[in-house]
Amino acid sequence: MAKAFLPAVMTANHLLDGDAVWWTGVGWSRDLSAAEIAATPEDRAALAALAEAPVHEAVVVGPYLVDVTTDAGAPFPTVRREAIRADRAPTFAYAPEPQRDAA
Amino acid sequence: MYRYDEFDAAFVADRAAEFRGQVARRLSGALTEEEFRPLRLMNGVYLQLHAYMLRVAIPYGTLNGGQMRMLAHIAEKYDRGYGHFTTRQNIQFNWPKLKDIPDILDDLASVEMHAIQTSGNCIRNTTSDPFAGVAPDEVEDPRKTAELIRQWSSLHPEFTFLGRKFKIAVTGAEEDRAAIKVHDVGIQVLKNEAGEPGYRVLVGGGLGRTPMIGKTLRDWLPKAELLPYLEATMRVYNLLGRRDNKYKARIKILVHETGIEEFSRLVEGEYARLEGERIAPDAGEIARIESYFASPDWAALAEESVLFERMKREDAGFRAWVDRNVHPHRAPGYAIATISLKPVGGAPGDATAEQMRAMAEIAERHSMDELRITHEQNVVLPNVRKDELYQVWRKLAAQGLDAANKGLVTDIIACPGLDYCNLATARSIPVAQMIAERFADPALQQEIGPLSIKISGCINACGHHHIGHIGILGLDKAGVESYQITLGGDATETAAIGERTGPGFSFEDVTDAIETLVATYLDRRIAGETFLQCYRRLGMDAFKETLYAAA
Repeated sequence: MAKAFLPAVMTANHLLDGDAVWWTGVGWSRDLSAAEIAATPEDRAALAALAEAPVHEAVVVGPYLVDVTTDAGAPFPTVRREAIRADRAPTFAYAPEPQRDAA
Repeated sequence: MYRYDEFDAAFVADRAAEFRGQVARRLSGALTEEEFRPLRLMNGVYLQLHAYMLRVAIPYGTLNGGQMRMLAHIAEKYDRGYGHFTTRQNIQFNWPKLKDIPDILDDLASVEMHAIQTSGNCIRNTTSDPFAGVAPDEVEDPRKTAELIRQWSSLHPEFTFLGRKFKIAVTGAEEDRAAIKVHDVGIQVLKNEAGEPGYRVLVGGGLGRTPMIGKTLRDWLPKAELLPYLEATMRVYNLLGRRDNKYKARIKILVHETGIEEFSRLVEGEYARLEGERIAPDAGEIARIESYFASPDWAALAEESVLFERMKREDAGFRAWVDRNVHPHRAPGYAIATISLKPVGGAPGDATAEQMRAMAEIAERHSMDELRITHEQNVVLPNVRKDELYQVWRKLAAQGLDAANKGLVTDIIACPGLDYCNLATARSIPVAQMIAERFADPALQQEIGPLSIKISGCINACGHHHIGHIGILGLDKAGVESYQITLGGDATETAAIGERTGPGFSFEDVTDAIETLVATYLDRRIAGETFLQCYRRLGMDAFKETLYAAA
C-alpha cells in the first residue's frame, strides 16, 4: 500500500546559535507556526529540492523535511522528536527557572 | 593533581586560537558545513536537537575548585545556568552559541582545561576510578597511568583518524569502580609476587549496539612496557579493524571476529617488531608525571572522630547520608564523600552554576581542593576530615546536594535522550524521573538496598543500560516510544551484560514494570541478598513470570 501523502515543512538548525528553525517561504523562523507548509506532492517535491540546495549554507545547518498534520490550520509534527524540537526545550523542567526560557 | 607544563599550556592555547579562526571562516562562508563539521567535532562541539553542545574533558574525572568555578562561570555566562556531568566523567553544556565557543575555550584554557579528545575517532578522555589515590584497597593511583596515556595519545599522529572512537579506562584496585571490562582497552594496576607494579590488560569490551565484556590480552605487563604495548595494540586495530561499516568498526568486533588468541598473537608480533625504547618515556619523565599524583599532605589524625560519631547519633538524616554516601579513606581520620546528583525530581547528572560554585567552595575548604566526577554521574569529595563531614553535609543540604541515595534505586544513570540528543530514539531523563518519584520514600530505598538502574535513549548505550542491574533501553516502534528491559547487568569486576526480559513497555507502563521487578525481588529474596544476587540465584524466568503476568 502506498504511504498516504503528508504535508511537510522544512527545518534546520541556525548556524550561529544552533536553534531549531523553520522555513517560512522567505526566511527562517524560530516559530514552527510561521512555517510554509507544502500541502501537495508537487509543493513537497519543490521543498525537498530547496532543502538540498546549497543556498542555505550561510544561515543554517542541515535542512530537511518534517512530516506534519495541519488540523486547525497550524502545522504539527507527526513524530515526537520534531514535536520536542518545535517546543524548543526538553519535556521537563531542565534549568534554573530564570534561564529556562532564555532564547 | 597534574599541572600543565609550558608545552601543555601553549598547545591548548594554540588549539583554542586555531578553532577561533575555523569558526570565523565558517561564519564568513569560507568553510562549508561539510568541511567544518570534523573540525568542530575535534573540539567537542556537537549539534543537537535544540542547540550546539560542548563536551569539556575532565581527564580521569579529576578537577580542582578553580576549575569547577570556571565551569559554573561558563554555565552562567554562555549557557542556561547549568551543566550535565556524563558517564564519561566529562561535562556537557547544552546551549552554547557557536560564536561564543572560542571564548569558552579561552576561558577553559585559562584553568588548564579544554574540549580535545571528547569527540571523533580518536583515543578519548581516559577514565579512571573516582576514588583514585584515596581508596584503601588501591595498589597504586591509576591516574598516574591515565595521565601517561593522555600525554601519549593526545594528537598521536597514528591514532588521530582511527576507524572509530577508542576508550581506555584504568583502575588501581581489585574492586572495579571504573568499569574497565566494558572499555576498548581496560587496564588494572596490580603487583606481582616480587611486589613490582605492573598491569593486566583487557581488550575488546564495550557497550553500544554490540555489548561485549573485555578479554584478557596480557595477564602481566611490566609497568615500563605499557605505552609500547598499547601502541602495538593500536597498530593491530588500526591495520585490521573494519572501516567499511561504522557499526562494526570498534576493536571489540575485531577481537570477537579474530578470536582473542589470534588477536593476542598479532599484538605480540607487532610488539616484538616495534622499537619499544623509542616509545616508552624515560624514567625521569615518568617520575615527573607521577610526582603530581603524590598523596597530599594529610594531617596526622586519629581514625575515630568524636564529633562525627556524635552527629551520626544525633541526626538521623546525617546518619542516612553517611551510611550511603561516605566511603572509607586510606588515611586515618579522613573519608571519601559522594555528592549525589540524583535528587528525586532532578535530571541525573545535572548541576546548576550555583551548585557547582558550592561544590568548588566545599572542595577548597574541606577536600584539599579536589573533586572527582564519577561515571555514575555523581561528584566525589576525596579528602574530607571526618571531623568536618557534618559541616560538609549541612552545606550540601543547603544546595539540595544531600540526596542519601548512592547506589540505591534512585541513583539512576540516564543519557540525555530524546529531550536533547540528535541520535536518541526515546526519552530517558523523564523515565528516570518517573522511577525516582515512584521509589522516593527513603525507607523504601533502604529496604531495597543496592540496585543500579541505567537508562539509554537509543542503542548507542550512553546510559550504560547493558550493565545496569536493571537496564532500560528506549526505542522507537513505529513512532511510539518503547522501553526494553534487561536484567543482571554488572559494571564491576564481576561484569556481565544484562539479558532481555522480552517485549518492551510503553512510556506510561515502564515505571509499573520496574516496580513489579522490584516487588518480585523483595518477595523472593533470602536474607541479605541484593537484587543482583537474587537475580543470579533465581534466573530470568522468576522475574519474567511476574513481569508479564498481566499480559
